[in-house]
Amino acid sequence: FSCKMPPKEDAKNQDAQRLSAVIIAESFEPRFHPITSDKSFGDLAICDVRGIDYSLRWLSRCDIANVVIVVSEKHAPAYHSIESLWKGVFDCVTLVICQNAHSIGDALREVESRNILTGHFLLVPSPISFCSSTLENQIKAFKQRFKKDRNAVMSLIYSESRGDGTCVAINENGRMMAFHSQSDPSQLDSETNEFRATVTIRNDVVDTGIAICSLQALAHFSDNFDFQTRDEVIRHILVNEDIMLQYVNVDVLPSFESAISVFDYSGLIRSNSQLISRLFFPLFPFKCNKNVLINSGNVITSGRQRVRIDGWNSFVGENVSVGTNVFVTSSSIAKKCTLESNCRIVESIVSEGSVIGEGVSLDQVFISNNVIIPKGQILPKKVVIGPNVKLNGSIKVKEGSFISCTPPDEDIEDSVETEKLFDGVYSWIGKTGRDWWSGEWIGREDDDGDDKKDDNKEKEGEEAEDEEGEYDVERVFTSEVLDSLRPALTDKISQETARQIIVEINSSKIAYNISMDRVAALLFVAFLRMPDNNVFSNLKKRMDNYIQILRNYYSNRDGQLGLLEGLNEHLSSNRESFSPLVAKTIHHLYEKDILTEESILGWHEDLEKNDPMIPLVKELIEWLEESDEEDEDEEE
Amino acid sequence: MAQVDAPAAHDINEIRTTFVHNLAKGHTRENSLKIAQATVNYIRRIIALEKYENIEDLLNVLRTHLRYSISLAPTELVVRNIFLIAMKLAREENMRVLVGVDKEVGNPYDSLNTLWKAEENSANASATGKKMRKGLAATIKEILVELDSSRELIVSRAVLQLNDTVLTYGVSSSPTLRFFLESARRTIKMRQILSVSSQLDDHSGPDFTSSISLRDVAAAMTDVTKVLLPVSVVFPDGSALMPAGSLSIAHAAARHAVPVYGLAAFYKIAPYYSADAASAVNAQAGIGLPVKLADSLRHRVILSPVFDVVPAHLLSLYISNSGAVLPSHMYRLIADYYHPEDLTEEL
Repeated sequence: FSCKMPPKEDAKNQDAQRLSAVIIAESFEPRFHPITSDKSFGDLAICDVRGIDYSLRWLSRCDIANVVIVVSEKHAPAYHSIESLWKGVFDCVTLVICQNAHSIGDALREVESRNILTGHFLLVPSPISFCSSTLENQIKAFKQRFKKDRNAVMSLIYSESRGDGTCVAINENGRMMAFHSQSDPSQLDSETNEFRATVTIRNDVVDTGIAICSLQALAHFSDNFDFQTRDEVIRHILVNEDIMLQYVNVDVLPSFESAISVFDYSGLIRSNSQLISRLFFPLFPFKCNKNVLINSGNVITSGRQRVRIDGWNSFVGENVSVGTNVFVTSSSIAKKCTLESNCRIVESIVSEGSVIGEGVSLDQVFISNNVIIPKGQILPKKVVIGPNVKLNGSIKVKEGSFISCTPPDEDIEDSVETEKLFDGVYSWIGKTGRDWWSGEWIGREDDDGDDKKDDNKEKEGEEAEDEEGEYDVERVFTSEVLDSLRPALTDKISQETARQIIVEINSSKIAYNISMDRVAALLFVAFLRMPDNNVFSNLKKRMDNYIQILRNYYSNRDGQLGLLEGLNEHLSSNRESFSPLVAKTIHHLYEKDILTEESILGWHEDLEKNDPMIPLVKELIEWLEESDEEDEDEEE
Repeated sequence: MAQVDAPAAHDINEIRTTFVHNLAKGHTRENSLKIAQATVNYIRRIIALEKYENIEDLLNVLRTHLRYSISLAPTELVVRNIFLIAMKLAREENMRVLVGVDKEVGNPYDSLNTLWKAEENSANASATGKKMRKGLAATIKEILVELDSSRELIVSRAVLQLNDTVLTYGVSSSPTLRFFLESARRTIKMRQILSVSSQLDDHSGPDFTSSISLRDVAAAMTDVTKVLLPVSVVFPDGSALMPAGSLSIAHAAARHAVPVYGLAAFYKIAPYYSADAASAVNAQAGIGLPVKLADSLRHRVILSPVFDVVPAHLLSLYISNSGAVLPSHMYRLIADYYHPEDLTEEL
């Protein structure tokens, strides 16, 4: 369906064109909402520097011309300053302000509707995403592949991992054969477990979330409003490989390069410690007009203060007061915090203005702004403490819980168990195995359950319908095509309308999974079914009006055979009214160069001897054969 | 201090962010000459666009910009040097406007007596911004000319002797050193040029060099007659920051009494000595380990030195654009490029 592709000149430019980057500055992750409250996720500070600044600094090292930042309406004001700060660095920084985006899919649909992107783009799905590489080779490889085969619509960036990898099957050309399963990333999402010997199945890599996409990949979001995440589109492409012919590539970064996109708290902690240990250098907590000192043991301090801390690979912000014998490792302490004596902080983040009491030990804990953890409070691993929580020292906190000042709001109420610890302090913990700390928070689990049921139903249905099913689907498809053809129109259709009609037919084609030659047949059936077509003058006029669409679908021999097949089908259901028109229709289409002599004759030869069509077209065929011979004579 | 709402300020802010981000742009670092040129161009824009009434204003403006740049790109020591050079030129321009072109402008490093007398002439007066802007634009442009010619001038000193065996290091990352060798090669055919390659720097040198590994240096040193090393920063005491590995080469050379030459253009001369320069700069580089390994070592501190501090007594001579300088004389050059008052403030 060539009509959906951008014009050819664009395609040539795309090779030379520099990429754009699309950053989704919001997190649609419900677990982050309580800690970001009135700010966007991109505003969350890592080592006292806004998370999105790291991402933009990374992009500034890549060969990126334009940056598109998608942000929700309520967070937009803060982003105008980000836009002005970074616009000198890129050719253009565009803010796309969404009103009601609830997922990455919604955000990308908004981008698509604005028509900002003109070529390939780098999808940065989280505002805290960065990479030690400039992706130069990956981008080059993507462009080359796309030049050769326009169905290579997407390239996913994977990096090597330390064991907790996701599973993926890749063939020898780097093409993805199977994606990881949604419920268990360590398993393949594939019905078959058999692959050719050239296919590699890897689980030592992890999906960074960063992807190089062509506009075709973006079109999937706008074609189907149900797609919420990038992964759904990837699964869609893989499942419909036979129909759409599109495929996804996997690029594993070389072992010296690292990349991360933050989607959960464990990712946040990891990005924090990796930044500090200079895995992403030159991305580093450098800040305007503030000196950053790197002390022995890679303890980074900001400002002019001297702090005495045991431990290593840590960040200590400005105006932090530190007691004696404080141990901090792989953690960051934001500005204006207080660490009392004998604290022990490992792999944790303590945000601005919080107080950690004497002798408190934190291991894998995320602490938001202005929290007070008093002396004697014991915190297990993987705990998140929300903003402004003041604990009183004797509370039992469960592993993996979230401590908040407020009970959960409606959005998340159903998926967490709430316990009131004391006045104004609540403990939330994910229901049914949902983990607040890491992994996918399948907030739509209930929906998923339904989906699965639906799937089962469909499967059962499919088996029963196997024989009639196909016919049913075709009937629905035909009636949709009939609608798309806009039977009410009586004038010659404009270029624009023709384009719309073609797009609609193509999307119905994908939706009902109809093969191309059946589309050709069914389209003509639908065409003939349009009202008042039983009078030839009307039909003739229609054929002239819709000539653009007919040309689009019947340009090759297969299409034309499909048309004639459709004609046959229509005849079988409307024998009386349509019989007299058959020959005239074919003749008219021949005159208009829609049908060629070859395909008419070929089709005629394939008809069975007792086919009711034969007598109807007898004269026409004879005439065609004669003229054919005459032509040959003339040539001789 | 620049006013934020002034029309020019908007532009200059943009220039500033662009400059700073360009320093970290791209995969590999630009060579220091390019960075120095970019910095001079940036200062020219500041002088043209910012608002200032007198010399104090101007110095504050420059200081603000300098502080911003080095806070975001602290690894680029050249940026600081160029800024301080520009500040010295600004002070001189101020004096020139006040005293007149013909008269001798007092050198701040002159004897106390001379300075005392000079001070009386120009008591508390200062030139207007307008007058300074014009003259300063011209003098700053001169830095650019000096920068452009610095490499050629260094290269022109490339006279080696027929029987020399030269050992070099870090050729691929220093274009000046490469041009120097090529030029030396053109004037005379040397016996051999050995290019030491380390793991960090595993591109082999130019065709006419033969490559040896760092661990073979001590053995090869017996044949070597000259050692040529690229310099990142020269300190006033004559010691220098050089690519990691240079220290062991310099020690081997000292052992065999082979002279060591450093190639250092004027913008590499740092105005003051910093005791922890190496540790500060070294800490600010990528760690260069496979990600898996680095991730499993995240509770350890990974040291990945990029520079060595080579003490003055291991170096024989610096080849600069203004001439060949003994390490012990390096401190004299500081007076040529920097003003003492600019150096008092901790930046």
